[in-house]
Amino acid sequence: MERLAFYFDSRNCSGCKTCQVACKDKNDLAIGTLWRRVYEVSGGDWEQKGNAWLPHIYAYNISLSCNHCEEPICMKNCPSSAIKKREDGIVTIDQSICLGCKYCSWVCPYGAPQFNEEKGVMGKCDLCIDYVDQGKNPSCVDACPTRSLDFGEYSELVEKYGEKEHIYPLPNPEITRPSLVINPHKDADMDKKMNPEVVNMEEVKHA
Amino acid sequence: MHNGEWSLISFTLLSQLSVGLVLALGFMYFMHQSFFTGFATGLSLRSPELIILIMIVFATLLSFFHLGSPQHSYNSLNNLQGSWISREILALSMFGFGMLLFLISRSMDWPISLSRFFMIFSMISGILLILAMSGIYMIKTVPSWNTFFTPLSFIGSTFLLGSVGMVIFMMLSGNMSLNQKFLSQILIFMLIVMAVLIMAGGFHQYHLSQLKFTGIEQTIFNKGAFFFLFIIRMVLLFATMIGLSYLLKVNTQIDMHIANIQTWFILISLLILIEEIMGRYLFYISYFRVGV
Repeated sequence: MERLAFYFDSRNCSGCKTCQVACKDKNDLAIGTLWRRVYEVSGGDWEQKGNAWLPHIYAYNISLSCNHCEEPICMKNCPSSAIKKREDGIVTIDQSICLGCKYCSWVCPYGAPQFNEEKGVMGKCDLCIDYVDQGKNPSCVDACPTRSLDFGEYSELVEKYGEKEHIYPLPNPEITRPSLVINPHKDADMDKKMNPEVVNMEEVKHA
Repeated sequence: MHNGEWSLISFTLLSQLSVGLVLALGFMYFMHQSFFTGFATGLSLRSPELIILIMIVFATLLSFFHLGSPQHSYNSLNNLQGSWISREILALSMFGFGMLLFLISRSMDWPISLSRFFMIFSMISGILLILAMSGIYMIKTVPSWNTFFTPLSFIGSTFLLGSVGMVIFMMLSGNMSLNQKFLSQILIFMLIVMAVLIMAGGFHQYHLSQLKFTGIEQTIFNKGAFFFLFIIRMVLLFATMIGLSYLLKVNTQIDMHIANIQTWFILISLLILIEEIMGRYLFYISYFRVGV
């Protein structure tokens, strides 16, 4: 069975948010709804070297949408079975039967399903399913000026880029087995735990 | 907390009250048949099954306010295999249907064996409803809810609200079966349930304060408004326990008439209602998910 996935290179991403805008434009999303979000993470601390205290600070970005998980927790819990998974692994929401109970947004650890106030139903990234069916890339992938985003079959992406550890603020991938391959920023090593923090919360939640 | 969740709070509390009332009613129906005969039947507003049925319908209507597309609600049973919400709605439907049949069987003088069957059916459906309701919140990505305290507090609330509702109902409907001995038994039961709720509340608060945040929003549970509300709820619970203990003491006096403590009991019941609303509100605002 196919498993279409995203690749994201945190080392290359400049945080320009073109992917976010391309997604918003393609899907005609309302203010406050972002099916792809760019999280700006920063952190750091002082390190003592001999008699000197040196600053060790860092910043990186994470561009994130629905990860079309192998075990989508949203689909499992949807009471109306409006959330479905295609043969190629794309997880979609059938808005004609969605109740708008928002339970999928409670359970998804990636914050992917979002409520559409106008329609009263949930919506999320569908990997630009119409483009995919025409053999094209999702709009965010083609819009990225630094080529930090890629798209394709999961196993091929892993072969091409390697399977890397998921970094802050992503949850443990074992929960839903997301179809996402990440090349982490050099300072995003979870072992360091240098007080990472998402610093653009207002923007990602309300833009 | 979103505005829609007030409808969920109301739905949860009303459902728990209805199930608690049915369990209390069933207990009386099977264990103290003589008590039960004091109740009216049929479409009288003094008939407990009619009141419960009205509450179930009202609770169901309230739950619709949470939905973005209530016109699609007929799809809510589509995922009984995986969704606790689907299971909850099925249990709620069975519960309401059971109560409706119990009401009809008693008012139409159907054979008593049928009434008994409908009562047992309603009681089992009610228990399943509370379990399904708990299952909805046992989400593995929401560590603040995914604990043993969620079903424990839901079951505790069901017993507490059911006991309060039953006594008030007996008082207001003038059921002469509400004697001193029976009232004392209920008061002791309520005190035990409240002690369990206090312990569960305390342990849950400790659990929340120990949570390791792996999400992006750093919710603080051990200070600020959340902790203040938690303390107020605990104070209310203790005050209610003191009030109930006082009533228990008064109730054991010789020649005590139930009418003398009616007002006090209703006031204490109001405290319980406020405490339960606060408890449910605290529960909803303690939502904290891992990830982004």
